[in-house]
Amino acid sequence: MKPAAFTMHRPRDLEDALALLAQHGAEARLIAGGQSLVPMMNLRLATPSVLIDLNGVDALAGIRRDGDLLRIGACTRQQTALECDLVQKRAPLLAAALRHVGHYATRCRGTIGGSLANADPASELALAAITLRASVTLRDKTRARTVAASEFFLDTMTTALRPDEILTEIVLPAALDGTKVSFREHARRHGDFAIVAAAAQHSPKDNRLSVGLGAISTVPLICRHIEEGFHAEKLATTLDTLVATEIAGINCLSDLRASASYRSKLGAVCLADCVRDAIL
Amino acid sequence: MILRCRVNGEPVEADVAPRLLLVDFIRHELKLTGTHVGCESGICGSCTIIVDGAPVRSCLMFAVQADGAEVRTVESLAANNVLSALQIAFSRHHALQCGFCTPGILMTLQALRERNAWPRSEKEARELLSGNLCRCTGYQGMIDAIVEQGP
Repeated sequence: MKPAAFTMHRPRDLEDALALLAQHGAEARLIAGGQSLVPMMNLRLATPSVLIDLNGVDALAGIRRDGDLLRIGACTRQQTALECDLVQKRAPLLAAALRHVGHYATRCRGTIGGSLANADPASELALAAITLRASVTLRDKTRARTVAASEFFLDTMTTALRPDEILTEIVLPAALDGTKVSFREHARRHGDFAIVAAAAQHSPKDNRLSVGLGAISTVPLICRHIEEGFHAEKLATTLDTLVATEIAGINCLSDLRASASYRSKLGAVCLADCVRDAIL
Repeated sequence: MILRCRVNGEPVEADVAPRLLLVDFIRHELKLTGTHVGCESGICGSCTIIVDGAPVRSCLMFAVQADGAEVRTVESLAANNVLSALQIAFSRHHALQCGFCTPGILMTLQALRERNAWPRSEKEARELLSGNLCRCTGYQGMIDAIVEQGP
């Protein structure tokens, strides 16, 4: 099918984009890479009457180190981030997650911010963001606010973004030297939507473990039982119990890809493997 | 909306509706029918072309978004009617059966070649090709051609 008719605006700077968004309100949709929005428009599941194309807003793209933080512009292409030395060194979990996002060609067009704002429950980038305690910057015509990733994802394809706001960047704490990461995903085919995905990062320097589980629920989840209860030296005897406690508290999704009970069993295996990978 | 770009080196100017997909502009307006439309949802990869050096699904881009861009389609590969090395390798390895998916795969590979990202192993070649659906199951010939053409 073909998309329904719409009006297209192609602003060159952020101020113009924000003014257009304020003017058109909920009638308008922002388009960046279009790798999720355009399929929905082609299927007429989305029929915005106004599109505001952010591809011409150069200020929204780019990756930079800011002290202990890494700032990634929302319109940075996924493949650009994946190939970036700074991301590989200081956000290795994000790099590991990006390898599972779509395919080479869709990553060349798809953006970091677009994927976060789309908030698919199976999004690898959303999972990496909550696991890394990232935050996003949301900007409207008059001000900017910072929202923790764990408070940004509200429900399936629903976020804390207001209709007049643009997600402008994602901010991540830079990984310490010696950090080990693991990203595990189960999908029917490489590049397909995950049935479950797990992410873990362990930094031996401060013995801090961060763990997240995605695609299993409407939003990606931080695994606090495991993070707080883990002892690296007692891992063999305690991990299975921690994983079981974690999984028991999750209201698992059931859809055409997998039932809730299958997701819960697969989630436990995936999570345990992932944590072991990151620690050992 | 006015669209000005270059397609296979030739300047193009047109007045198109914003909702016109880039692939439909290429096929219906420019009559370059080498680019194929499979799923119209970014899954099959048949419509992959090169826009400003990057492989893109032309069913997921609006024609007006190519304003100012350098667009290349499969027709650009055989310069002066001489097949490219990759096209010859595909032919030699019988890397196609019906040929519907071939233009998208060739353009994806062409982009990888130019971006120094050619698959370094059979495993990487298989992972790459997971982004292009071939329903004749002709993947083995493609893998052989990709590995032979090495990085």
